[in-house]
Amino acid sequence: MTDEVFELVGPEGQTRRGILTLPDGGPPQAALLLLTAGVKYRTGPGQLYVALARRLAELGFATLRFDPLCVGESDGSLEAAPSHELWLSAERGRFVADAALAYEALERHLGGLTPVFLGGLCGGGLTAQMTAAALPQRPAGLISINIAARETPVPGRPVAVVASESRATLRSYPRKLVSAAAWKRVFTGTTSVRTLATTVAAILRLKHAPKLDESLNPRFVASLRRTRALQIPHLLIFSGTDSRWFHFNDLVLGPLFQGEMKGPAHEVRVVPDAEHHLFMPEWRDAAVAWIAEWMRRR
Amino acid sequence: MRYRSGFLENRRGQRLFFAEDVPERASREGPVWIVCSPVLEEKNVSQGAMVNAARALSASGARVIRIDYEGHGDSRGETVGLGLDAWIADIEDTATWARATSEGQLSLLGCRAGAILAARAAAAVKADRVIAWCPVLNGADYVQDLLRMNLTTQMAIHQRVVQNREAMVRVLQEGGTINVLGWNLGPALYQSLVAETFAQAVAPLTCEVDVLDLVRKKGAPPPPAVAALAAPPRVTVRAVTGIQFWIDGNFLDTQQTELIRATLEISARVSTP
Repeated sequence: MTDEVFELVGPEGQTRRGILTLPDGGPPQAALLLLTAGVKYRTGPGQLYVALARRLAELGFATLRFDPLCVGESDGSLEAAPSHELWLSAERGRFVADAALAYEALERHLGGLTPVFLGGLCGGGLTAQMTAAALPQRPAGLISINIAARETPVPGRPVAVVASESRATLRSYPRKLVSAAAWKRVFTGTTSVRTLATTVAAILRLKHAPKLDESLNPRFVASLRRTRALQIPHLLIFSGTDSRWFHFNDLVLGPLFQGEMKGPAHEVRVVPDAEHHLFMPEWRDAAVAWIAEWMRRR
Repeated sequence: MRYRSGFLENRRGQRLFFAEDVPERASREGPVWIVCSPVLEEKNVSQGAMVNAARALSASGARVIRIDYEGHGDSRGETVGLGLDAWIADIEDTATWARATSEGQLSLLGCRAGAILAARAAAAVKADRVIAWCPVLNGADYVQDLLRMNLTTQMAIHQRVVQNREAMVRVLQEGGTINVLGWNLGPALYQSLVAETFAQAVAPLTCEVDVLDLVRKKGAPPPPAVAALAAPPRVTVRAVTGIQFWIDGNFLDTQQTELIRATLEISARVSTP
């Protein structure tokens, strides 16, 4: 495989940069544009994007790991701000215009004949979805990993816990019942009674909400509706222990996908024990296998 | 200022990503800085701050080169078989590469564990000066921090600790690997870290070393362990205000205004002897 520096200049004269990884032995079967996870630069957290790009290249796919303006190697720099505000700015479309520029530049670079998919982790998946909804042309598809259906909560404000999340938390309770440290926390008042009450209340709720929940990010809902209306194929990969999966499973899968994990234009896959960033190599291998197989089918 | 990036090959044959910011009117005799990033996930989180530091130094007239060590960033390789020696060698290889086109004073800016690497590489690359940003003082403590991150991940996944610190250390001592925030660490890194301190790395140096550490409150002194590094006139220690930029915290500040200002003051002394 080959890594190339990829640069594109925007209409205002500033340069965005990325790394294009190409497979050996001829043109790629397809290309994946990986977009900024939160405000992390193009390597992704724990080198996730690097690992995906290199394993996909071994399977014949190209990947562009891309930094929008103010991130990583691209021109500009992020303003100093609370992290949740920066994440929110991404969830509200901060990087969509640059993602669209990168999509068009990548398509041109590959000669217009290679199908180009958009994707990313968490906020990167959301940027991909918002970009696909806004592009004048239809991309080959979307690949989101732990897409953020809700906005990042403001610190200190209570967050509604969903049933799946509470059930996952409940699994630790039998162990806590025989834990001296846990009982000590109860008697010293360290354990939050409110948290316990919230957990129990959430467990009693329906797993799949019958209608769209108000806690969802309206931009997530609007762009998901738009990409579904355009029948843009979407592979949604989730980590089984991540709150993004619980939110999607309980609040989105029912109302917008009729509870179906697979349909004509979508497929939901879950890595059972994985955490948000797919830290372990075996989780990354599973994601790569699904992505490659899914892109090949498209 | 011109920006250029690409790949250079290290002595082990791996392609290392480099980025350099060069003043418009750069000469062969102009000063050169090599920026030595932190390692592992701290490298990724601190990327913005290191880029801003490089741009500021370049705007003041220096050629500034950043590299991703083998297994880091956009460079090839895997961290699992590597220890500190490999990344020290990467800095030396970068200096050799830089010397082919520059004859000016060469200085190193190292951050966190990158400060240890810079200090260890300084003699071999004949550095005129080392600036250490918030150096990791003790490799063994740093290992404990890494193990704690693994434990935090275990708690998030299993809601309990499956493998405790002692078990992880045993794994590393017996040649196995552990995963810390997506990075696979092996015995070479473990052994090299537990045997290393910043003070030991600086002790044999004859060039000047400026330690810049972050404090929350303006005018506050550096922590005692950092202050103890001072050995004027060769080693100076100074505290500046700022927020840790190498960890995923509640506030992200890649600007690091005070830290970069202090660095520029030191760099001005280097470029005008």
